[in-house]
Amino acid sequence: MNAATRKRGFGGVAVLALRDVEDATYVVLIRKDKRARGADLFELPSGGMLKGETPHTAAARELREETGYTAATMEALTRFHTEPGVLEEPMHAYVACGLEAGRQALEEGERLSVHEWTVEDALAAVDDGRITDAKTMLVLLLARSRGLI
Amino acid sequence: MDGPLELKQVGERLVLKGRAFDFVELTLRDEEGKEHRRQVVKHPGSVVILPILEGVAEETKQKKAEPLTPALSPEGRGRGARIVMIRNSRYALGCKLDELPAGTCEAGEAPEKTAAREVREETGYEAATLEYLGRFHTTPGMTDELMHAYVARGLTHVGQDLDEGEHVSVREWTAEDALAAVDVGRITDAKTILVLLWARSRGIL
Repeated sequence: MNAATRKRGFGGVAVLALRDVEDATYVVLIRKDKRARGADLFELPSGGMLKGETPHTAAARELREETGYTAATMEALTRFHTEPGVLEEPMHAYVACGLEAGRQALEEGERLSVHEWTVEDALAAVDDGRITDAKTMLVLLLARSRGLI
Repeated sequence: MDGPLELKQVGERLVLKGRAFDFVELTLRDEEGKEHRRQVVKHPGSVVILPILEGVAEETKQKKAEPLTPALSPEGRGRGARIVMIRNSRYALGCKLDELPAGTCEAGEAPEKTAAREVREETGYEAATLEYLGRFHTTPGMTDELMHAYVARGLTHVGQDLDEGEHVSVREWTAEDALAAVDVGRITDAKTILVLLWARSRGIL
């Protein structure tokens, strides 16, 4: 999706994509060039909703564009306000399972790499400060609190 | 944690000087020399505070002979722990949200000072101790805002001191109720959800 067709103001989505490999469950994280913050960081696949999209279709699209994965199931986890003093639209969080690999489709000028961490390592990284992205921390902790990971 | 940035920043231009934040446009150059522009908000940093009321100390002071209330564990944790939250009018949303007290660092202000100031101004409680919980990027796609989280204890009520036009009501919650409200999605403020879950995960709540 290029910048011209990507409209602001429809809310955002973030996806906790889980992949079971033998006895371990892996979380799909991306490392994105986050120019606003002056360095890149590990986070869940996420993005803005487009006009006419439901949160569910936006979540499926962002997961596919950023990681190449399509998910067999995509369940709503929660929604939250990332900047309630400034932004009106909430972010919707989904849990994606049954992942099938495909090709990434990045925007022009977008640079990101895909990483898979075990659930244990990702949760440890929230606690020890290796993951500092608020939505990623929130979704991982909430998923654990609900017994999903 | 930090890796190299793939795009090189070659320019920065002020687009809008806001009352609280500046809006700037960055010019980035990729490997082939092509330029890309990103508009972002420059932020001085912020704080969020988890104020924990220590009922144990006060109750034992008043009634020394009596045992601790059974609901409250000796560490002030668990089912009986009480926290102070605010109900904030959010005009961007057109509604009120239950949140932990929070605020923006003033120019040159250390985050711990901001935390002490904001908890007092917004909740009316002065904290004897502020314990650092951690920090996070609130919305890294649009701003460099780094938010620092503190746990405030030893609270003494001194009265709110709100900015003009600010309407904030103070509510006490049990930790159990607040965590339940997070779980069912009734609390929707990201920093509040994150800090409550983080505090539980660390054994603070």
